[in-house]
Amino acid sequence: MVWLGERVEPALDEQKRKIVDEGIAKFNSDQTRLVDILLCIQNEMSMQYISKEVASYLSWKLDIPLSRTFDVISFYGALSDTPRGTFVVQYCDSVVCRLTGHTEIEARLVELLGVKPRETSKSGSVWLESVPCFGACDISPAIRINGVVYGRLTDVNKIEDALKRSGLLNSQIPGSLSNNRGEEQHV
Amino acid sequence: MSEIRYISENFDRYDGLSIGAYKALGGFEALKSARALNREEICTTLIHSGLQGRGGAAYGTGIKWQQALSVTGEDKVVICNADEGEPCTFKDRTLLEKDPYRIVEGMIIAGYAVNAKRGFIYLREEYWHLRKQIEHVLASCQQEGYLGEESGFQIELYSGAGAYVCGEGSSLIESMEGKSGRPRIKPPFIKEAGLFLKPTLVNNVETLACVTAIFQHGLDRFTSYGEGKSTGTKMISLAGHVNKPGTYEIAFGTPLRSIVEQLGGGIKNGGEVKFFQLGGASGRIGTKEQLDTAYTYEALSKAGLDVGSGGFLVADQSASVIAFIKSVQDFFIHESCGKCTPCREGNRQIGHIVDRWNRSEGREKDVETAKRFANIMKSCSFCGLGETAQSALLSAIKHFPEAFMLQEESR
Repeated sequence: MVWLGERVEPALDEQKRKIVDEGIAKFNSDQTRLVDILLCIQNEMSMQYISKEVASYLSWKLDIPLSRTFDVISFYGALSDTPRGTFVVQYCDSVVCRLTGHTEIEARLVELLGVKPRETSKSGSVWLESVPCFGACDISPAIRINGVVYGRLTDVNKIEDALKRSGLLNSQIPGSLSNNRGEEQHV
Repeated sequence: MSEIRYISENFDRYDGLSIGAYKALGGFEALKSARALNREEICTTLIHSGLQGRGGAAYGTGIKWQQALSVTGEDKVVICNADEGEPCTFKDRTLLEKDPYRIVEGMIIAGYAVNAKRGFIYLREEYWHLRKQIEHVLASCQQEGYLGEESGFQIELYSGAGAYVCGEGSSLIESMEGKSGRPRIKPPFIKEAGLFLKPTLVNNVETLACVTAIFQHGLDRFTSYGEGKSTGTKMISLAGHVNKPGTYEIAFGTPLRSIVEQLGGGIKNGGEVKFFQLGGASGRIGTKEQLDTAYTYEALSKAGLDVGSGGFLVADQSASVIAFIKSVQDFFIHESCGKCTPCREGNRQIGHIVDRWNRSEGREKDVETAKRFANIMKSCSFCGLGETAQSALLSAIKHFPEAFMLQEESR
């Protein structure tokens, strides 16, 4: 049945196309691996999100409807359809951390990073977001920076130290950020 | 109270990376013992152990494996559920960090027992930092022939993507099939039609660790711990206002008070327990008057409490019941998959009520309405998320009625 017509290859710049092609190849073009594929691609994108162009191209390559790809991206908390940043800083907003005082860490992070939650920094390098429990309740207050967990951040110095260790904060001056892209932080 | 080192016996005794070190500690002896038995014998051993699933549903592991074995099929599958999304639960994380080979060994035993050739570990995205370690463990097992073509069993690592509901077996499978994690209707049960409609066995990380321990040290050692039908030991995730939050191993039967005071080092700054929540955010709350209850399935159930995921959250006098309930509610609103009306709308509407309570703007009949919706969710939701989302609220209304009445009176 030809009533749907042939799909046209969506436009995508070369660099991003390469990332998508590699992501798909890693999982043998198996569309059932969509979740893993999207995570891999997102990790390689400088703003750590899946744009509509990327999603369109990926859907075309895997021969799945764009709506399905978008369904998956919008369903999962770890996938983003809006630009975030080179460094994604996550803090817990769940039951245990609220009890033990997460709001303080949120205030400290806003202060140190000079960004509000869910707003990319001017330099485009930092995105701050609250997330549900990531299983670090025993070392709370804890944050994740590009997937690496830093715990026991009971004072400002420890938070700053974590930001420095992640490569995010290279300066002593609070609120000032390095322009380093940073390397993949996944251990 | 002496530390129990049974499931956790290898913790801090090796680096969680070296297969040689794991073997030196007795690793793979369990697999050897299991292989000396036939498949039915493995299942009956587990039935006799009394081991119950450690993810939270507490289904008898032996029976589950026996049912899985009896299903015919060429492409049977074993899945290790490492999605551990329940708030105040991190014992699986600890097990994977400190003794990952134990879990893999348990999976290999499961594969043999139910006659499955493929295994999968579904690891939550929030534990992405453990992937390299797990990949190394799988590669080492492959190198030594415990996994791979020779052994007839393969294990692949999959990632979650930040969805609590994917801790539910059928949602997890939907996720592994490249879809959003919305639960499936049952029947058909996943033991008959799971991953790609193949017969699938899903077990929690800790359950698999227990299986290894049972075959490593024998049935008698396992049943020497515990009380009544609650045999063996349990990994607890203790957190909140205690001095020493962390993962601990206890024997079933340990009084809650001992856990808080001896393992947890008591409440910070000499405070007192106001309430506690067992089993994570989906668990019921209890008060300090109940601290002498023994940690067993039977005693906790009688006291209106849950074992659940093994989470143990302790709140002191500084905690606000309403603020706590709001945190639970916000979590479930975020995590509800949206598929069924009772959970999607029930959570949303109860959320409005909780928000009003949080602003001290409670209306007449808010408590009555919330209870009614909560009970509808409990009986009519499509999956366990909706069924248990309001456990905390219902128990909080029971234990702290004044906190809720105040909301209405202060208008």
